Amino acid sequence: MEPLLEVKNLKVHFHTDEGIIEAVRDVSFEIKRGETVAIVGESGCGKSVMARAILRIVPAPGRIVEGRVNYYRDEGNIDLTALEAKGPEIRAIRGADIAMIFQEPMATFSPVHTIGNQINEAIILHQGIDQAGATAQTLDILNRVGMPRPSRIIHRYPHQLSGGMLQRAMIAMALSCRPQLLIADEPTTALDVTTQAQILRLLYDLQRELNMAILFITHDLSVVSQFADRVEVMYLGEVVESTDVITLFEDPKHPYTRALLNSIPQTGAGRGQRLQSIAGSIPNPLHRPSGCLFHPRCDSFRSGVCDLVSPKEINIDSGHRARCILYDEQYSDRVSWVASEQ
Amino acid sequence: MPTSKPLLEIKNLKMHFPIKRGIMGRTVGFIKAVDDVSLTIGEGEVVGLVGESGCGKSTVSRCIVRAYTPTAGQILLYDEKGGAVDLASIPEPDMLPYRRDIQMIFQDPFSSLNPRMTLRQIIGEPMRNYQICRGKELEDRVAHLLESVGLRPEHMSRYPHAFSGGQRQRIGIARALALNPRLIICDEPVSALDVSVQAQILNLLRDLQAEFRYSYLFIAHDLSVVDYICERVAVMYVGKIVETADTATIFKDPHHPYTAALRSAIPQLNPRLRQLPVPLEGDVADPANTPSGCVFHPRCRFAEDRCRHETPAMTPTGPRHHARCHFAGELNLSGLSEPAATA
Repeated sequence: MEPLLEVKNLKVHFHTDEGIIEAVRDVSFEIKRGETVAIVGESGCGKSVMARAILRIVPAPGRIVEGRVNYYRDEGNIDLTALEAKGPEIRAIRGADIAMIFQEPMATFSPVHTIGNQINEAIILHQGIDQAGATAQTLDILNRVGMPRPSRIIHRYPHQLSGGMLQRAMIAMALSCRPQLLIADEPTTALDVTTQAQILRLLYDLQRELNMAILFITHDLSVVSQFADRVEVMYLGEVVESTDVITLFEDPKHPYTRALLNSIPQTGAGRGQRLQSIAGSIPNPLHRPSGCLFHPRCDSFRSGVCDLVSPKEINIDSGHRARCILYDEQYSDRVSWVASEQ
Repeated sequence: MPTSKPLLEIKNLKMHFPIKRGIMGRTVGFIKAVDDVSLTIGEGEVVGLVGESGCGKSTVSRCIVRAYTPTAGQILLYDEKGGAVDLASIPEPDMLPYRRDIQMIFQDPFSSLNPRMTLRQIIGEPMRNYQICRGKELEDRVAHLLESVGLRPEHMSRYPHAFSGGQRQRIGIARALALNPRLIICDEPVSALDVSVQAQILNLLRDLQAEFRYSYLFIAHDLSVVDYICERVAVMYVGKIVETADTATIFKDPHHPYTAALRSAIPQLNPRLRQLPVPLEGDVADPANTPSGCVFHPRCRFAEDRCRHETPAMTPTGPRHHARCHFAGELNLSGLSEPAATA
């Protein structure tokens, strides 16, 4: 498969009064056409900021300080970070080629316009057709996302719809211009499990129909296991492990990924087994640990190495990378005694 | 039915909120948030109450602590000698001695702690209110409580803002334990926490329960969390309990179609078992305008004519297993509850 989007050494910093927050530090990954890439991480890991950086909608005082986001179009590739953030070029891409859906549909729609008018607006803006043509397309897309009685829904205001229905309306708006890439930022986190199942199924079906790629941002590993092709695990602004979804669950390498997988309760496991929790909590982004960012919470921590050295990304296998000194040959003398101890 | 002596027995609890319209405040209808709920919690038992948002599970907990005065029904709290008091009907001022027996842990660790109080004040206040101890003794007990929830006693002069979400939830737990309650109501205690911190709090709640034999009413929407911590589970749908059973049986062998659907909606943690089923179409029914007959019938794939007209009663369907369905035990729900490999 050919690449669609390539993020290279992306760094996003927030300059605050208390200091610089490195929300995204040196993130690189690739999305191929029609593929689903999941970005997994806990709060504060930078996953949402990273996604917003792709569309150039990082909120102030955040700034892209380094890196490239190459978007491959039929007309040749373009570096999104080089575009003017409010300029016409990125605005032509945003919503048309690359669309985004958010966790809170209520906050996405304007409360004073009807659902129909808001979806129409996106279609008219990007496709330059008239109101009647746009309404026909809006009805068609609402139908496709499984909205009951679209001809009535287009006259409704956001507060008149349930959470699940609004999420469908937002997906309809995002897909109205047939994007190549859909960025979904925690699209099911605010929903109940049965509604979550409906929305995930809908995204899965539409992805196959439109052959679009999805960048799926979530903290929920069970959703990842059902939905993603590739996974990037983020911790405090860094990708710590990057692999395909099967390998992530069957042969995770980074201690953080392993700990995360062990800390999730599973139905059917029963009350016998005890959850393995991760010690401590996520550090304040203003006071990052030295060396490896995960070392204060890591159970494979080696003093004298992990607290001093920033680990490099190590290729473990083709398409499998981890940022941990356990796999770095430079420290193999340390690693061997780690292995014998376990 | 619990295996131990009952501690709290909820009988036919109803909580209907009036809908008022117009300048005269005329009552035009009722939101039946809780409609005929019966549930018993035994001494030292952990009972889970699960359901989707708006099903009335938090309203049940608020009726137990009398934040709401129930419309009808009884909430019997038993003392050690077997005597009982009905918390649903006693006058508000008489509640005071019973409030210390029932404590709550809330979902949001940010809004449930007063930002202007130090930990010493937050955790000490319940003991001060009930004049249990003061001065140095109070300080020692706060220190002891902080230690038992895994916090450092020397931090008791700090304010909540100095702590992370998981640590704040520990503070909330210490406050709930301060009066040595008999029943602790945990209302979604881990759903606002990060995954890595969630496990710490679940383990803490389990350890405390094992050590002190507290009874928990554990309210959650996440079935895997309930499965981890609860002995018995009650499933709620639109104000009614539709199924109760032991945790081990309810997920393996559900007898109500809603429980089966809820179970199969949880994504499996195995990328080789891809299913993406859509167990339920449509939305949860509006509690202000509940469907006739069985409240679940508009979404139920097994619904027949009888379900549209006749409200099913809670019927025993197995050992310690009850379901509110006309066809409980007769339906083949295995297709819904067993994941099928399609990947």
